[in-house]
Amino acid sequence: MNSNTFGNTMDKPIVEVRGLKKYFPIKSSFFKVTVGNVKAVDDVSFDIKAGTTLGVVGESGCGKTTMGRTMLRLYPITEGEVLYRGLSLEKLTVPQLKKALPDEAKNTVAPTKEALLAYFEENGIDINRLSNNALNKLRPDIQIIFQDPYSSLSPRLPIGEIIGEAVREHKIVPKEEFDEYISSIMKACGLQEYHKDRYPHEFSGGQRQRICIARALAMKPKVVVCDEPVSALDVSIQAQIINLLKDLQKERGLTYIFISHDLSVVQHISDEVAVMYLGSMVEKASKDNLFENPLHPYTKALLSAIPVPDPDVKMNRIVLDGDLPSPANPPKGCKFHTRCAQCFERCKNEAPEFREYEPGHFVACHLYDKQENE
Amino acid sequence: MSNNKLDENVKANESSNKETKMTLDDAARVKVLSPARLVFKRFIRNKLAIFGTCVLVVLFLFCFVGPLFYPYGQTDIFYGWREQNDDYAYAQIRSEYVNYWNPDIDQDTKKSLSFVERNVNSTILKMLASENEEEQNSYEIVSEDGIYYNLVKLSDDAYALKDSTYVVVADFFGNAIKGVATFRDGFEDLGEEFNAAATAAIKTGSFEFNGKKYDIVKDKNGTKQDYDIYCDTAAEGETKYYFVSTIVTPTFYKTDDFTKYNKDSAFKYTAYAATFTGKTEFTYDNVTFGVKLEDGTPIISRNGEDFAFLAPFTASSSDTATALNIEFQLALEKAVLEMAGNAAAVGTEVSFNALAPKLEEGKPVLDENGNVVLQDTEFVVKREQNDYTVWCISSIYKILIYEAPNSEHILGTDANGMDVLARIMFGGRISLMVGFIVVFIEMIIGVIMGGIAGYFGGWVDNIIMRLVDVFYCIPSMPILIITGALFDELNLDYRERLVWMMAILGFLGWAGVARMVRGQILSLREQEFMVAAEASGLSTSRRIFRHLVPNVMPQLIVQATMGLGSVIITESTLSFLGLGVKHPLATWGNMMNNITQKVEYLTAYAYIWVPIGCLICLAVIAFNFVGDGLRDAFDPKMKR
Repeated sequence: MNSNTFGNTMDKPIVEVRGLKKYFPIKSSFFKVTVGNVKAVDDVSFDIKAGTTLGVVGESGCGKTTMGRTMLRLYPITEGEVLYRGLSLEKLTVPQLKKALPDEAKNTVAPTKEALLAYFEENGIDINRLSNNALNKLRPDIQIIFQDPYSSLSPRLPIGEIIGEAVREHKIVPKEEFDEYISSIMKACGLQEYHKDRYPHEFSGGQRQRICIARALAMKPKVVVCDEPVSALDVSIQAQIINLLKDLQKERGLTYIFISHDLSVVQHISDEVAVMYLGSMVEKASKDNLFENPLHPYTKALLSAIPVPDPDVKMNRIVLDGDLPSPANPPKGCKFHTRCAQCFERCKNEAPEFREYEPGHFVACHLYDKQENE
Repeated sequence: MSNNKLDENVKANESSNKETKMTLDDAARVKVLSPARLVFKRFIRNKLAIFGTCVLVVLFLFCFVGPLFYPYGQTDIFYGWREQNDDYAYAQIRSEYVNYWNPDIDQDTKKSLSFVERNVNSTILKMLASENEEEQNSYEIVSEDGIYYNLVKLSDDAYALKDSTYVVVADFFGNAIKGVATFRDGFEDLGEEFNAAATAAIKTGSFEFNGKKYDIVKDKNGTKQDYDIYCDTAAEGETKYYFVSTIVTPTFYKTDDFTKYNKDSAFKYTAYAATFTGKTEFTYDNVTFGVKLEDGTPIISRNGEDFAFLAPFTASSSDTATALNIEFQLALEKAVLEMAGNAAAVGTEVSFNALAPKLEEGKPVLDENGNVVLQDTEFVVKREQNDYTVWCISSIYKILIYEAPNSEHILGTDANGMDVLARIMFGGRISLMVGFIVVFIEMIIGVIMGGIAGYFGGWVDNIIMRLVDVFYCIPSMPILIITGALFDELNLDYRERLVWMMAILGFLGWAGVARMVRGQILSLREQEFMVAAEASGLSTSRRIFRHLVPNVMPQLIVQATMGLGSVIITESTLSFLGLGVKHPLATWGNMMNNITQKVEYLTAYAYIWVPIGCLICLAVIAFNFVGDGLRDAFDPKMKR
C-alpha cells in the first residue's frame, strides 16, 4: 500500500455517494413496456473515510446488497454519482480520463494526464462516467466479497486459478512473483498453500468464504464491499472471518463497506453505521453514537431487537406493525410512516430530508427537524 | 480407504508442507476427488458405458492400428486365375440352299437362268413336300422363256439343275389346214407326215408319231400360228449340270492353302457335283481329290490326307482371332446335327468332349516349339433354333470381384476386386474421422453462437435464436443430397469433396448445440461467480470461455458423444446413396453401395454388408452408451 497517496486522501472521503438511485423496471408481460419501477435504492448519499468501515444495516429487502453492487456498477446506475478517490487512475489513458470528466469540468481541465489526475484526486472520479474498458482497469481497486460462498466460486476452476486469474489479467504482480504472491495471500487469509490445486467443492463454507476474501484481497483493493460475508456461516466461523477482515484492514489500510443485517457483527467491525429502510438511508452515525443514541424510530426498533444473552434482562422491545411496504410502490411522505409509532400528519405527506442532526450524525426524520417543528 | 493410501496421502502432504502439523480432523486428510475423477469414478460404475468404451477402443484399434498390420491397402485391386464359363464358339445349321455354278456355263446363260435360280429354294420345298416319288427326285422348272429344266435330287443336302429331257424339237408354223415343222439342230426331219399329224392335232395340243408323244404349245413370243413342238427325249451322254444347290458347306482341315479353296466357288461346284453323284474322286485344277463317307459325312481328301468335310453347318470361334481346330469342329458337328434332327432339342444343352487348345487369359498356350497345346475339354452346346452356342469352363486371369471369404481375403473382395476387410478398416478411419471433425465443427460454431446468445441476451440472443430456429427448419437430408449432386456436377476431387461434406454437415448441425449452450449459459450467468468475475474486471471473452464454457462442458461432451453416432449414420447414408464420400476412398456407407445393383446381391454377398452393418450399429450404439454414461456421471445428483 502506498502510504503516501493514502495520507493525502485522509482528510477527504475515499468514497462519496451522491443521490444514488437504482430502479429496476417492471415490464408488462407482452409488449415489454415499462409499467413501473422497483426502487431498490432511492436517493442515497453518504461519505466513507479511507481506512474506516461503514456498516450498512437494515432488514431483508431494504436495498443494502443492491446499493453495494450499484456502487461497484455491477448493476447499471439509474441516477446519481459514486465518486472514488485514490484509485489507480494512472492506468487509464487520457481519452478515458477525459471521458470521465463531469460536464461542467470538461472545458476547464487541461487535457493532460497530470491535470486530469490532479482534478480527479481533488474531486473524485465518478464510476458511472467511466467507459467499460476503463472501469475494468480500475476494478481491482474496488472489490466485493459475496454473501454466498457456495455460488460465488466457479466449480470448475481450482482455487489457485480462482484467486490468481484476475491478478494475472491485471498484472498486479510480476510474473515471476506470481506463485509466491498467491501463496502469501492464501496464507494471509488462513488457507494452506496445497489448497491451490483443489476445487471449491472440497472446501467447507468458512474456507470458501476465505477463498472469496483472498480473491478480493489479491487484487490489492482500496475499497472492499463486504456483502453479508458472514451471514451464511455459523457463529464460530463468523468470528474467524470478521477478525480476519479486521486484521487485514489494519495491515493494509482497507476501506470496508460492510453490509449486514446482523447488528452485533456490524457493531463489532464498523466505525460508522448506516441504517437503510426501503431503499433509503434513514440514519448514519459513528458506531458508538448510533448504538447509544439512536434517533430514528426505525433504528430504535432495530436496536431493541438485538438479543441479549442474559435471561434475567427484561427486553424493552419496540415491535413494528405490518410488513415492509413494496419498493415498487413506496408510501408517500416518509417511507416509514406506515409502521412508525410516532407518526404525525406531516410524515404522511412530506418526505424528510437526510440531514446532519449533530456533527457526524445524519438522520432522515421530521421529529428532528427542529426549525420547522417549532 | 486403505491404510497404505492414507499413509501416502499424509506423506505427500507432509513433503509439500513440512511445517504444517497434521491434526486428526485436518481437511488435508480427507481424500476429496477432483470433479474429473469423480465423474470417472461414476462412469466406470456404469456397465453399459464400460461396454461402449471397450467397443469404441476396439473399433479405434481396428480402424487406426489394424491397417498397419494388415497386408492390403484400401485401393489394392486383386487379380487371380479363376475358372469361368466362357463362350467358346458359335455354330449354325444352314437352312438356305446356296447355288454353286458350273464353271463351264457362260454369263449369258447364267443371266437367262436367273429366274430359275431364284425359284430353286421354293422348288426344293415343293419336292420335299411332294408325295410322288418321281417328283421328289426330279422336278420341272420352266424358265421365263418357256424352256423346261429339271431340278434333280443328288442327296438329302444337294440338288442340281440340268436340262430337261422334255425339249422343243421343232418350231411349227401352221393352222388347222396346213403346217410346217422346222426341226431344230440335232433332231431328224420327220417330213410331211409329221407335218400332217401335227396340223391335225393343233387343237388337241398333243399327238403321237412313230411311237413318241409330242406336245404342241403356242409360242409365247411368236404370231398366232407360231407353235413349238415338245417331245420327251432321253438324255444321252454325261449329264450337264448348270449348278448345284446345296446347304452343305465345306469345313476345311487345317492346311496352308484352304482359304484359296474356300473362296473358290468353282472348286466347290466340282467337289459337290462329284460328292453327291457318288464319285470317289474328282480332279480340280490338276489336283486329284478323293471322296469318302464317314458316318454319313462326306470327307474330301487330298493326297491321301483329309482335306475338308461337308456338312450343313458352320462354326465360328467366339474370338475371331483364333480358328477352331478340326477335331473340335467334327465333334461339334456331330452334336449339332444330332440336335438339329430333333425338334424337341430347342433350348436344351448337350455336352461333349473334344480336344481344344488350352487357354490362358483367352489366348492359347504354346509349347516350346510354338505349337498349340491341346487338352481334352468338356464343352456344352446349347441350341436356340438354328443357332448353337458352345461354351467351356476356362481359366482366366482376371480381377477378383465378389470373391467369397477365403484365407487370403478374410471377408472376400468387393465389386472392384478390393479387399473388403482392408476397406472396412480404412473406411472406419474415414467414418470415425468424419464423425469427429463434423462434431468438432458443430461444437465450435454452437459454443460460440450459443455462448454469445446466452451471455449477451437481449436482441443478440433473439437474432441468434431465430437463426437457430431457421437452421432447425432446414431439411438437412434433401440439402445434403442436392449438394452431393452439385459436387458431382462440379467434378470435385474426392478429397475436396470430403472436406466440403464435413463442412456442410457441421454447418447444418450446430443449432442444437447452440440452443443447449445458450440455455445453460442463461442460467449460469446469473450465478454469483459470474458477478465475481465481472467485479474482478475480467474481459468478456475470458468470462465466457473461462467461466461459462467449462461449466457447460459436461453437457457439451454428452451432446458431442451422442452427436457422433448420428453424424456417422448421416455420413453412411449419404455415401450409400453415392453422394457422400466417393470411391476410391472407402467409408462404411459407400461400401454398402457395392451390393445395391441387384436384389440378389443382398443374399449372395452378405459377407460384404453384414460386417459393415454390424460395425455401424456397434459404433453408434457404443457412442450412445458412452454418451449416456457420461451424462449420468456428470449428473451431480447421482449417488456417488
